[in-house]
Amino acid sequence: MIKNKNTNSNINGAKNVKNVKRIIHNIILVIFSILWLFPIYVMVIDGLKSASGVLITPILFPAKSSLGPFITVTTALERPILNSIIYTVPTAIISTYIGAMAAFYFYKKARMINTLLFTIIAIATFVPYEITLLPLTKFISSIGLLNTYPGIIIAMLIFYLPTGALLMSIFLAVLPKTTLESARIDGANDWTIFNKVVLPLAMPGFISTFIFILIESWNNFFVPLVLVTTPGMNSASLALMSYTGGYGTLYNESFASAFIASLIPLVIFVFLGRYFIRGFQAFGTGRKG
Amino acid sequence: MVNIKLNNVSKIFKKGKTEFKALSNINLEIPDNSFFGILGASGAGKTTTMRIIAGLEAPTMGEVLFDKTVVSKDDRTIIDPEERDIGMVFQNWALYPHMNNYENIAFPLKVKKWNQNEITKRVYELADILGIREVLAKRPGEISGGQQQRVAVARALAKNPKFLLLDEPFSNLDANARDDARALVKKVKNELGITTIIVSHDPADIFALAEKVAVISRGNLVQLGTPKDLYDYPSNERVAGTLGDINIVDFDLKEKNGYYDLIFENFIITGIKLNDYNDSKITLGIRPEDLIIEKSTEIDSNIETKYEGNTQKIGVFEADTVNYNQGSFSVVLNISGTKIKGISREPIFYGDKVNVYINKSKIKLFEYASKDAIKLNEEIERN
Ligand SMILES: Nc1ncnc2c1ncn2[C@@H]1O[C@H](COP(=O)(O)OP(=O)(O)O)[C@@H](O)[C@H]1O
Ligand SMILES: [Mg+2]
Repeated sequence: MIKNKNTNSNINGAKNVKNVKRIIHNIILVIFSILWLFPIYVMVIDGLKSASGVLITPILFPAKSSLGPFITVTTALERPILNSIIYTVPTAIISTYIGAMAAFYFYKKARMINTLLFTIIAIATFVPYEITLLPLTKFISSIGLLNTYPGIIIAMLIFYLPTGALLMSIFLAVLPKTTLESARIDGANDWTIFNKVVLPLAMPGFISTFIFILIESWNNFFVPLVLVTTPGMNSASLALMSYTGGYGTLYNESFASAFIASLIPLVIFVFLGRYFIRGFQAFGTGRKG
Repeated sequence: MVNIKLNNVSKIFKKGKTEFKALSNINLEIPDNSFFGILGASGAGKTTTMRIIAGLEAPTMGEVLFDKTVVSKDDRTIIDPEERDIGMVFQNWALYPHMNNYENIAFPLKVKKWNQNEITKRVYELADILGIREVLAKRPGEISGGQQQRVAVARALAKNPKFLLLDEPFSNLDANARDDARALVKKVKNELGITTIIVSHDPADIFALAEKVAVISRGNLVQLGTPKDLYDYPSNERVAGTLGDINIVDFDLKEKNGYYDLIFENFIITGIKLNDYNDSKITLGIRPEDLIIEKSTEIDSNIETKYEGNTQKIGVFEADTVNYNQGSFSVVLNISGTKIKGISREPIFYGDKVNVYINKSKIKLFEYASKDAIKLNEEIERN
């Protein structure tokens, strides 16, 4: 009887510890969620205010609202957002796919070459944009693609292909080696192995890399800034700038446009976010891709 | 079908500045249609040998031939694994986790661009032979280890390869599944008549399957022969241990008119004939089944006729630990700290007095210094 009680209280004790842990866990999650949602909250409530209202009411509290600013900026941002989609989606797909191919090549090749190329790529990933200003502009205009979709995509690829290769190398490193060897024994060539075995196994990593590059290139301000010469080719990131600076900033429209422009990456992250996280979890837990 | 030949194959792995010689001068010929075993302890170089045959590694020195064709030589792979037309079952099976079992087996055929009907026919044919038809729609992660192993065998066989490589194919199975799997592999091999190489650290695999076996130890090929030959006539102490349980004990030698007595405490074997042996000690190997143990009944005449062959009574000892396995009792004698294991057909208990007999024709003698086998011309002579 006494013994029973004892084990019971032990179990209760363990449960309590578990509960406390869970509560702390949740509190931390809530704090982080608030911190992360905070900018969105500010963008939305201040975007709903009137041009004068946004100046006289406290920034953190809602005031008299109308959809006016949102409607205005949405119309104005339609084209830039479409442009941004055209710039970034191909960039992200191509960078990730070709990056994955490069990563597969490194995976297969001898260690020494691998390390060397890998280092070069890692350096390329961290080259500051500004350094490339002149050569990039010269190069793109010399091939006659200044202020064109292909020109901007090519310029973006120059920056994001190394990122794709680098990230995909990290994801490929955890693939089971013998599974790929077994495909060779089964008679598959590199192309088949890449498409039928490597890509499906590395899909979570592929999606993570895709999302990462998509968001990075969506926010990229530098490439369109130097390569776009007419307003019709503006990217969302460029168009956003027109709401700040210049003569007299309309703060409500700034907030609204910032919100609209971040909507696309946000939606993608909401839908594909779990793959993003799963891709990175593959390392922590040792799970294969 | 193909005849595989390794000529002077060595493999050196380089890790930074350190070199590791995983294989040294291996010479092997695996005849067409045979079931060939490679036996060795973990880390001996078995997988490396197999990967070199498959083309996944190139030999650092030496060459590999399929019939008359050199497929790799001196650090160069001349024919890539995908061109070698072989089937291989990896130690961890290496199935494609994202495909179902049907697609796994069909993969080599799709690569070869077989048409859909032929593929289906072939997959079902193999699935029937291997008894995995019900699991074809599932993925490898959803079936048992034994079934995964069969899927791996089916995938390896699908394209009718020139030969089949099995790398420890049973080591991830539990004991019961292992017996079934061995029987199945033997059946498949006989039905399809394909040259097969099995690599294992477990002599049970070799005895169940291989017609011929090469023993590898620390990257060296130490002996080649039929499993029975190697079991009975190991070329050194290490091979003896690799092929199965064996007592290894160092004995003192005492000459008595041309014959020797082997003495270890009160464990004395008499009347051994040795030619040109110049050491005062000798290493003896005796397998437990050749050390016969029975309950001591005081009166024990007619020793000579009691057991077949060349049996000698060693004396009466006390049983230390006793283990029962599969119909026999293995009895351990503790002779001043040295454990010697024998076999009894009747139950024996701790502390029982037992008679110990040795089958002298099964004694294996090794040079004390080198541990190499001492050739005994024919049987060990009786006193
Ligand atoms: N790629 C490699 N790089 C370095 N050392 C290796 C490599 N592959 C195997 N080895 C070493 O070679 C030896 C033999 O390995 P292996 O052939 O896998 O042994 P077995 O299959 O007999 O257990 C081991 O000591 C192992 O550590
Ligand atoms: Mg191995």
